[in-house]
Amino acid sequence: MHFYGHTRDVTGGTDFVTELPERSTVRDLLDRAVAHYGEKLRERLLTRSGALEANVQLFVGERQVLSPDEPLRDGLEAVGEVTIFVVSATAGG
Amino acid sequence: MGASVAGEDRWIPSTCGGCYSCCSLLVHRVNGTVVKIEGNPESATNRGRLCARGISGIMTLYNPNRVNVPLKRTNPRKGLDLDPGWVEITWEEALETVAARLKKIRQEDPRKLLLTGTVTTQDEVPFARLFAMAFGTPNGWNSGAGNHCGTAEHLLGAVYHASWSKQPDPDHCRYLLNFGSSVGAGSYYCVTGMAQRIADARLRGMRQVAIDPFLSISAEKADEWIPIRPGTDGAFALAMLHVLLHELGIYDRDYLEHHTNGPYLIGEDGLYLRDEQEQLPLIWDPIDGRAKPFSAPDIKAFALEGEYAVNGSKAKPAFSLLKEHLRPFTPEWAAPITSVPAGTIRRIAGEFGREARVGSTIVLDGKVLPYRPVAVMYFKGAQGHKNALLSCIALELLCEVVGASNVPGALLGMNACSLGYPETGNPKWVPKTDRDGLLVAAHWPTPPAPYPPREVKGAETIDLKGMIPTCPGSSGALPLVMADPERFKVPYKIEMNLHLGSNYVMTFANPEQVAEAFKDVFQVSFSLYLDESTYFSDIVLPAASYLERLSHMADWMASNAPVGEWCYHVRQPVTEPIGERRATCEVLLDLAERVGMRQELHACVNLMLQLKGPFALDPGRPYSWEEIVDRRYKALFGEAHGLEWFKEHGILKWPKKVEEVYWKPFSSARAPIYLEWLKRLGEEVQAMAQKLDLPLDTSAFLPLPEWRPCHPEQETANGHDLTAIYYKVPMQTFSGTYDNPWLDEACSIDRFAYHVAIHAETARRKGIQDGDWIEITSASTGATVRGRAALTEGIHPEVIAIAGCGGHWSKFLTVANREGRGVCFEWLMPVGLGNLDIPSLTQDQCVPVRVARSTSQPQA
Ligand code: SF4
Repeated sequence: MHFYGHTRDVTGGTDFVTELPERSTVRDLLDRAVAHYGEKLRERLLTRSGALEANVQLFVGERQVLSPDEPLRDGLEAVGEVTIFVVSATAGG
Repeated sequence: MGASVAGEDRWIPSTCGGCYSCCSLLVHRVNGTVVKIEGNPESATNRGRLCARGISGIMTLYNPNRVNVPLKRTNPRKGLDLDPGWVEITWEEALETVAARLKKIRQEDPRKLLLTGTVTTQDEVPFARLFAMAFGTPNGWNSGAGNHCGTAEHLLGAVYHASWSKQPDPDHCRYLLNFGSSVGAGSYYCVTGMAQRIADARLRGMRQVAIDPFLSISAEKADEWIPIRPGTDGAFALAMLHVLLHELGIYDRDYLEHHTNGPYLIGEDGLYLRDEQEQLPLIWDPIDGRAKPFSAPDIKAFALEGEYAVNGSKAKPAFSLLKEHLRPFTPEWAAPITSVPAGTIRRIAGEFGREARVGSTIVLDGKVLPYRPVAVMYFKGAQGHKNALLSCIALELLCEVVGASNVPGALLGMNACSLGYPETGNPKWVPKTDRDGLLVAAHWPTPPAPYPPREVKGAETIDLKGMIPTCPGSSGALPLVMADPERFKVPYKIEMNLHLGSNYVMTFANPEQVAEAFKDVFQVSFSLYLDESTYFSDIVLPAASYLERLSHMADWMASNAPVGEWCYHVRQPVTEPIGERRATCEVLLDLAERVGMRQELHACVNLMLQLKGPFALDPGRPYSWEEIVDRRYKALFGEAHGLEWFKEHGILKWPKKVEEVYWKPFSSARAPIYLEWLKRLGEEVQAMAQKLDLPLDTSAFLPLPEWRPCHPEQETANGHDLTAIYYKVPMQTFSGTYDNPWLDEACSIDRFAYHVAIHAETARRKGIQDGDWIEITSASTGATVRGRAALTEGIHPEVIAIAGCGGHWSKFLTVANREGRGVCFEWLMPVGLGNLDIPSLTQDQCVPVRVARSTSQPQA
């Protein structure tokens, strides 16, 4: 799992490696990361109702995931890297 | 020596960087020296024309005041007029110093890094944003445009037009109501292209009415000028809406039913009534006599008025609430506020309503489309006020009620829909809808777009935008929070500023207060000049100007004209950088390597520039700037249209489709005439402000517009009987061009560019004559500035108008710092929450002032 953007103050780095059981969802993975980095990460990535924040883009391999409840494995596709970008509108205007 | 050089005589295509309009250039280079700059006639954006700034770019290239070598300060004390004591250093020393700082901060807390930019670095700032994102900081700020620009306007650009901003349809508009914007007259977006198109529109009979405190360069081109008190545009618009809905009964029923949330049922709590199953907003179907989700396939008709009982609750359609809400806002109510006679407001409303031709259609490209040839334009002038957002909503609703939004003749989102270059389908963005059926912008220059808003999360960033996500651009709160982060519960302090050309001490507000926020920050400036903000720099790097650098984004979406053709330009160096100047993006790539953040930078670049497949950057190796730009072009336009192709041909263009320009009839997205979400968001912001014990006035988060004065009456006491406003002139871009001698000459022969416009009768009462030096004292900051009076009948009698961002004092700007080179308006404006429109974090830019003839009148 790779974190890019406005997460570094929470994660301290870019890469996080974990193993999950078959049929896990993106939320399971996020829960694992939150358990590792703390609740601040959940606050950064998710809304209070558990949806992805408007400035978070999450990819499983090349596939963009819009809801954390999507499975990590999509059909036969192997789960590769999960990439999370927290985009910030720095210096707008 | 140089037989080949002696024979050189080339015209090189490139792109102007004098402002954000990105006009295409042909640059004449003879024997290595640039001798002339002309507009590229092939460009669909500027059609061969340039403004004064574009032509005079040659003087920016060769200005002897440019920074040519890296510098480091020797004076540890920082202040507005404390000489930094510059000494020359090598690039290696400069970059090692900067990289060491960056590494340390990234290790401790990357949020301590701030990025500041401006519009004349509009191609470099987007890449620097990627650098900042990869670094891990969310903190950025534009000044010199951002804060004197349109945060409320841009927010509503997203909400109503799926776009950063908007333009009137120059091909079909017949009635342009211009509330103080410079469209078609020298500033704003697509300056030179729209100036021609609006001039053509006037020739074919488009009527233009300017509602503006000052008979500005834009207003003087109108058929009619209506002087208005600053900050009262919203009241004028509310009264027009009253006339349209209550007196004339002019509104576009079909548009309101199908393209707005006008039929959505609003409960007694002010929120949507929703269906229990899917929580979708309900509408009332008067034929079936029951409520249905807005998207139900069996809707036979939409009720726009009336009151209905749904599941034991009473509810009214949003349109009905809007209409009721507007009842008290008569022209007679607005007249004493705006100083415009009620009869004039009524007449303008009638002209606008009738010319909207509700119900008419036009056939374009074989498609029958609504024809609404009216538009309401506004920008910094109408929105730069304490009542920014509510006033802007009122102005937007004028077009919405008559259906004049993104259809032929109307107000158009600036390139809101792109179906892409025919050979590749890129770049592609098409307006979307959210679950409530409301419009969502598909393309935004500083993602994410402000609607749907992010959740309110408290003070994550140094600009309050984590707490107030409706601010889409640069926040007016930044210097305040930066100076005292603890007060705002921000858990870190900014330690370093990567500073890209923004002269923030002169282009935001009271320079002393802004300086206070920056004086303890390690500042690294990528600079053309040693301007006032570099007095706070620790390292200055000599930046390449737009004529010396390659850009990945010489074609910001705003640069394309709203109609006609898409046109993508190249910006390439037309000469080798002079001295040791380097392009900022190249330096950032170098710094990314030194800091060890290549993996992150490449990932962010791939995502945001959409470099995929063979064009994606590999984290395993570094890339040159040329390679990245080449990949961006190829990813957009195919293998055959890489950088080399663009360098040779300059531009790539293709016709715009009807469904791109006039996209609204092809979309199911609805615009909100009742901003229910804003009300909900305001409650969240209020709760968070209370939790953090911050004194935020959240009362402007309202679903329907109203008007509030910018300043309480007591501020006009003590003889502060006039209001100072500032406005843009087409000869200067914020503060960044004032050291250009050709522009200095142009401003010197203009009657107002360096002088303070004051009404002749007002001046006479105060004993002021044309050309006299006057002193202007701010009720807000107490500061006094000096300028020379230019008497005119073309200004509201209660107003003085100051042009641009003059009044420089840096000793290194020997053209700009001379006496009489304009007035620095910022001394009059305070930094403070009390001066902000909270939902948009826009600064109020009209100031109560006292004006008197100066006791010292220098000899001519
Ligand atoms: S309008 Fe802007 S981009 Fe065009 S020539 Fe003038 S300064 Fe350059």
